[in-house]
Amino acid sequence: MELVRTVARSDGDAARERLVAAIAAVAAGDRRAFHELYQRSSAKLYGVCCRILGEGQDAEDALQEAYANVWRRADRFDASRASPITWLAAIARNAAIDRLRARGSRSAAPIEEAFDIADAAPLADTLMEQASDARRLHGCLGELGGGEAALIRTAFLEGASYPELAARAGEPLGTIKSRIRRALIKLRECLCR
Amino acid sequence: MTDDDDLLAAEHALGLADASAREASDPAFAAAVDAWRARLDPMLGPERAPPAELWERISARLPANDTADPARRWRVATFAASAAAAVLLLGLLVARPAGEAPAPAPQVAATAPARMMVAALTPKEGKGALSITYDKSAGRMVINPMGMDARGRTPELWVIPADGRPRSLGVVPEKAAAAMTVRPEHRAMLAEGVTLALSLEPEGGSPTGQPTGPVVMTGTMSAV
Repeated sequence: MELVRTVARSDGDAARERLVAAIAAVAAGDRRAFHELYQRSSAKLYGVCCRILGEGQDAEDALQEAYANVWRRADRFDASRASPITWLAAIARNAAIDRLRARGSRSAAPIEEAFDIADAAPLADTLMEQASDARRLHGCLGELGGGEAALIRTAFLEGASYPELAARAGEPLGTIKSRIRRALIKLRECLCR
Repeated sequence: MTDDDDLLAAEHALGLADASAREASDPAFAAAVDAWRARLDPMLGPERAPPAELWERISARLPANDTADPARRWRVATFAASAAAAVLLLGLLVARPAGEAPAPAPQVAATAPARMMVAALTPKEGKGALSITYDKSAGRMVINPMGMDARGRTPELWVIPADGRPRSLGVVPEKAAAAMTVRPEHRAMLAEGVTLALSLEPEGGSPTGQPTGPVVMTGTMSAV
């Protein structure tokens, strides 16, 4: 068991090293490295786009935008501060959220309802993920209670701002802010256990 | 990192606050943002292979290198591989018949080896190279272009010292070898490992004192 974990860890480190090297080469304008980076990361980034936009043309367009941004911003990546995959995923999330906003079809539905919709499809995905940290996050979000978890999901996956969350929840801005901050503290505690 | 800072990092990761400036300037804060992104990452869904033809669209839309942000081009110059360049230079020096060597070369070669520096500038893509020999004691540089295509523009040579700000060493000919005396204020910058770069400028060289055109070759100075 320990051996398996050690091997898995070193595989992860090697994958990370390869991504870091590819991003550094992309920063120098190396198109071949950009292709390698795409091959190693596009399934992750397309997954992010599909989660936010649903599978289809919008997700494809967002992925294109995300990689154009990766090409432009590769020189800003600092491996001592961030892991390459979370950095790349954040770029994909931002591109997808921008597209969601541009589409203008973001539901203004009450958050509880949005929560149900957002959560129905990913159940099968969650089973497929099999990753312990995914199970842990979903477990900890569950411990927060539906309302708080839904606020966090709506912000993260729909790009809703504090005022938008407040409007949709029908609560004062200050209340929403403190609810989210309390939820984040609980989430951190739960994940660090 | 206070608790408030960590919450701000979480809000930034969630998109509820924009702390980009702090993320760029504060390493501890950037690490906290990264930790939150990693925690929240499973919400972003499982991996999914994109349609195969998407890569073609993405690579076709890439801007050409010479339309990129000019500041970026100079930061990237530090990535130039000096070892490969040095090997290439040796190959070029050996391969080149003595009869073709530019007139100043023998004088430079006759000085003591410890004072000599060399650099081979190579393009990221495509053909051509620029070999540079520099005699520290005389402040004299011999520049030897090989198979360079300046595309109708004027090649200009720059040294990029540790502060990252390029200094012009002068315009160089596209076809013929040339020798020039390096200005005294630039001599100390020509140290081991410093980056040299060649940009393509309007006729007469960069009008601004900073590179304005694409960087077509880079290389690193080595002592020989």
